[in-house]
Amino acid sequence: MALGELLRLSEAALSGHSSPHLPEDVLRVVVEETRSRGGVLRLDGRVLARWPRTVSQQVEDATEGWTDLSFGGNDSAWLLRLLHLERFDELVAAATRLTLRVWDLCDELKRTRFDERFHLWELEAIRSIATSIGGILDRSRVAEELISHLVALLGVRSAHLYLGQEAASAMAVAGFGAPVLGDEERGRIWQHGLYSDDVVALRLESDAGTIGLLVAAHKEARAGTEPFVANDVRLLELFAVQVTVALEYLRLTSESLERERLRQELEVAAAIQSHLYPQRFAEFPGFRLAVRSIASRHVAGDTYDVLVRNGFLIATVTDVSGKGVGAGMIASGVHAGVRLLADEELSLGKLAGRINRYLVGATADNRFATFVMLRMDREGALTAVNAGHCPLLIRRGDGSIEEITSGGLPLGILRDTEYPETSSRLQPGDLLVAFTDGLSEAENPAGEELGVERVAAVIAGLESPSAEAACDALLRTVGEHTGGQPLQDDATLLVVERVG
Amino acid sequence: MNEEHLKLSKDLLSHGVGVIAAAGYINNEGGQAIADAAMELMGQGCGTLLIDLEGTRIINSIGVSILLEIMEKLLEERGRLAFCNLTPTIAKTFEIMGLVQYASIYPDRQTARAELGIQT
Repeated sequence: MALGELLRLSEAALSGHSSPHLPEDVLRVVVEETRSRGGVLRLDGRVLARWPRTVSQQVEDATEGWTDLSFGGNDSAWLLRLLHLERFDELVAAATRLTLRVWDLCDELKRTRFDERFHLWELEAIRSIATSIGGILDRSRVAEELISHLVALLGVRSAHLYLGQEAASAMAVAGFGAPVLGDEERGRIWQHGLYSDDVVALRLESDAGTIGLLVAAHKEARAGTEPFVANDVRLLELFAVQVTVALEYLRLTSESLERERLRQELEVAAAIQSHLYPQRFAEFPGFRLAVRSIASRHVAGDTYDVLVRNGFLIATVTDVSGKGVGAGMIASGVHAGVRLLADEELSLGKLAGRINRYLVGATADNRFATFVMLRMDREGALTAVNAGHCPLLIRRGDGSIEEITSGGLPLGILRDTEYPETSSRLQPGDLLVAFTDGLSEAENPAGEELGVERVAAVIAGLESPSAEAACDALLRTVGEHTGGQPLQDDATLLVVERVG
Repeated sequence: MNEEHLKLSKDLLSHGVGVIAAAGYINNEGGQAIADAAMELMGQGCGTLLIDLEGTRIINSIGVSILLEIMEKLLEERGRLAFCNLTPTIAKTFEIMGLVQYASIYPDRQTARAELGIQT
């Protein structure tokens, strides 16, 4: 009878789903089988069961007549105490030992399996940090995900993530439970972190230095809390590395996206600017025009325009100080000003004066624009204004060069600047060349500038002078001078040819 | 995050089916609250227990071990355990910790009720 019951209990233990009261059940069977008055079962000194349950420690200590049966197994020490036993069959004793060892083994197997699975869970949690935050670009959402994983992984009641390079400026970006460190305490431990039984705080270190602090507190036990142990700290350190990598990934991804956004905006700005240039030159019989414009960045600080108004050809070349979007916006402003004012019956000098006053009020102190503008009738009679710009070159049919030099400050410097006009005439076969300093100041590898004289010499030396030939020859010369290196500044070249 | 404390409700339906809805942190306290509710339902004849974890995002190892104990208790009584509305993270945790070997997992309560044959 007892053997059958013990075997049934063994089978229950082997199933892995035995009752937690199995040691008590075994003890009850043994007490009844041996006709003892009571029994106590200990494992490694720990009481597993008492039968009847009224056999307390006091009763055990106060009574005599105990028979102690010790047996080992599985690195454990079992002690079966029976009070006033009447009989003890060896077969029952063997079955008892077998049942208890099976139960102990299965229990240990269960714990081992749980630990093993928990380690897998740890690994999975670490791995899933990367996958779960993939694609999330909201830092606070990422931080909350990280804290959730940390709370689950370490089983803590409080976890907080502070981000910042210094304690004073660090902000809590995510947290769970009540914070355990105040501002002052965080400041105190910022340099070295904190390792205590209840709280572990780790600095997050990237190549750029300290980026924050990860704080975990109050590790849970089955009842209440328990101190952090070395394995917890190791796990938290591993986690801190993952957090740092995740946050750095987020920062770099955000920066990359921002750069891409700026690049796209620059492309849009460049496209807008390119539409400001004449798509084709207006018909002006007896004249041919050619232009080349090279931007050193997406958006150029140079601009040019050609339009025909009231029977006159009007051409401008503008060079704004600096480069990039800021210069390009000012260049566009000058471009718009010329277009709006060109219809009015204004002298070129007054037109330049109005644009100058607008720029003085609308741009920063260090921004200005050099500007050359000419107006010419069909007979080649021209007036020109040169505001701080490179000289306008006129190549006569005999190869001689005349210059129309600057007669005033660049636009945007002084409000009441006057811009004198210069008059001349293009004869058939003559060329008029306007260019920006990006061309004349192009440097060779030794740092020597091309120079206005060289530009003039190239124009003068043209064998078959024409607008296109002048542009090609000048760009070829610039390329040879720079050794094919990209220009450091925007360069624009506009040539008007009076057809012979 | 404001989910440190578990919100729990329980209901014993017909045919010995019990439902526990738990939202919040399943730790030692939260897990024990679920275990107490499960024991109470089992004491009232519950043989099939559905635990709805909608609103639960975090479960720690102690919480898992308590759920394993509930499962063992149910298996001991030849009962059934089921879960629904698990976050992907918790579903993965249950898979790793072996809960899915003996417990059924359903995407939502409606599916769980249909699969478990719970009368509405």
